[in-house]
Amino acid sequence: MTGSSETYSRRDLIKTAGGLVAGTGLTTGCLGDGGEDRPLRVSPYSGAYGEVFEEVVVEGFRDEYGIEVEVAPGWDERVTELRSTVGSGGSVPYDIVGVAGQNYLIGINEGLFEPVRYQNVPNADDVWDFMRGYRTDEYGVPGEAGVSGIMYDEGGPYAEGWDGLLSSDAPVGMDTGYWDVSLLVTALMSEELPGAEEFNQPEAHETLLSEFEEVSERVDVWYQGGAEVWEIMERGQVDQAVFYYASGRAGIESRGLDYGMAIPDTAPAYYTNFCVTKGSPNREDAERFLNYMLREEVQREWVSEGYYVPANSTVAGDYPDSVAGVYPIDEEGMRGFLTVPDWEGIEGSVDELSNGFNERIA
Amino acid sequence: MRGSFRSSLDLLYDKLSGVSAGALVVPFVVFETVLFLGAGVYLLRVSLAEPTALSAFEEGTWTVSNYLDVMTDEYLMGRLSYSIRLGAVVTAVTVPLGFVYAYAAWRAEGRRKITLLSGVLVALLISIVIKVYAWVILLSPEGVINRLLVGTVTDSPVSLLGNSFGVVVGLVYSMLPYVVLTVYSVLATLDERSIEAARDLGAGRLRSVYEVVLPGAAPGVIAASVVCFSWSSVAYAAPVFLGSPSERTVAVEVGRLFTQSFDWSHAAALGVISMVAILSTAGAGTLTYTAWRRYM
Repeated sequence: MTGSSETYSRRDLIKTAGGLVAGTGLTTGCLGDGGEDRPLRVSPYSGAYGEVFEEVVVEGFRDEYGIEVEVAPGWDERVTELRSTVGSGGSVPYDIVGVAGQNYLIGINEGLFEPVRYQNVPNADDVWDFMRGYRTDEYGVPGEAGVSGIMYDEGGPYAEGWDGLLSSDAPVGMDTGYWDVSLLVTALMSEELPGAEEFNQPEAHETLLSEFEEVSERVDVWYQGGAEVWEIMERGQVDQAVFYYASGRAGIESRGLDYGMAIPDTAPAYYTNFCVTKGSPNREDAERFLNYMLREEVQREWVSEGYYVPANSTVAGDYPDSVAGVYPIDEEGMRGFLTVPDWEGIEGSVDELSNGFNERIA
Repeated sequence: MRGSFRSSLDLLYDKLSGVSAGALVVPFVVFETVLFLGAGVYLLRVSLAEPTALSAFEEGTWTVSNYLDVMTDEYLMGRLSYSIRLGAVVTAVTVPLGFVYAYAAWRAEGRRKITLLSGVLVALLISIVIKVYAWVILLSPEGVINRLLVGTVTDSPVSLLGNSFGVVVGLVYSMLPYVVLTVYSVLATLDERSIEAARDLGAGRLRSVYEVVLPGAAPGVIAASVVCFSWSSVAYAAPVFLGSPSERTVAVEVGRLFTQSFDWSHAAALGVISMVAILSTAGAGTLTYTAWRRYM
């Protein structure tokens, strides 16, 4: 088995193969994130949301504290990404991740987040009680809430409430990405149970899916994500679409379109919980960031620029002009306005609902 | 320093010169084993773990119920069936087109040959997402193609996007370079004089291609068909951007189960079932083609 100048021994070949694999590891390591000394990395949701978040919250934090912050926006895939890195000994991809509803609960169940040390986040005391109490805030502070509304072309007929969405003459678009919104809208249209209880009660899911089948037949275009909703509206394929109010307002303004946004009395909503990822090397700075994010003036500017529902309740007493009169001003009004899915209550039936939704739109 | 590096390279070259071709493959076999087999085994393991609500899967458990769930789910099986049919249609369109293109490139000379081969190579340098988005612009109701059609062929825009037509067009465009290069690499080993010989013996142009070139290029055609079918059956970008929910492939569903539903067990089971189904279909197609060629 001794190697010679003419041939390779088996050991030489194994060494070569090992070297190749190790070399690949080293090479990919060069593409890495710089390990423990990296800047604070924050991951909000992507799209218009991420842009406003960076412009208002991140830049303000950088200016005030002189801490370098990287923004890495994303969608649902971030939870899967974290699941693959947290606990594996590798460097976590984000220090702070903003996740809503089901993703937040999955992250908690999977042990992806550090508990928030609220003594380092005193501004959380101003967050709406219902936002902190609706589901545990042990692992993430609520940053804002978003509601879905109806985006419409000013030139045509449109619905002002969920009931009218399917009875108006204007073609309708709905989202396939966040399937829960479409099912919540169906539940709000339904008269079987109050509010969105058809969604939140597993025993009512059969009825909900049956009603959704009728809704899906009336929908003209199923769009996939925020970018596509603008395409189908501008092409004239639909004259009204269920879409996030904040993203809709921001997009209408930046594109200079003659569109409007209507929000019915009660609307499907989400809260974004901002969490410090388990194993983050920047936990202290991360909590400093969360505290800054919840500061009243930061929240006010965020609402003004991004049109979101503020997590800081003190902003509600003096909303900026851009949303004045749009959102309720007190706790009771807010509770009735925001329809948030009860993911904990339906945890055993999520797949059934998701598959049922996809089956009916295919 | 440079001399030392150079002498090291020379030494490596000397050593490799004496190594058999089989031994040279060893590093890549190890690489593939680690990357593909390792990931495959993990996928298989996850597919056999019990699913849990609001979590990826139950660690340390074993079950085959995920496979039963997937195989009895009409919707998911419908998506798998659609994926295989989509792969078959794309392959049926792309392979003949690719063969003609590769044949033209093989027979061409000089600048024409360089232009034809550069055409497919340049297409490979562009990201698949960009290529697919280009088709969104071309096929949309207000896109270039509809502008040409309206007023000349039709009165109103034709629906080219958000349906299977758009998906097939996008996939044919994406797959064509791989088919062309695979077929061309085999054609390049053939002796062009055999065509001249067939023509001298009285065969027409088409017959000489059918009798002489096609049998010679069969390994390339089969390889290209397998690649085209396997990739287009599990395509993600084209069905998402150019299709509607009705055109979702099994890969889109696996992605949905992984990232949206966070149901890794069923996603992994669907992935394994898809892989077996697609490999079986591709294998059956290859055997059928080989048997047909032998019979002919």
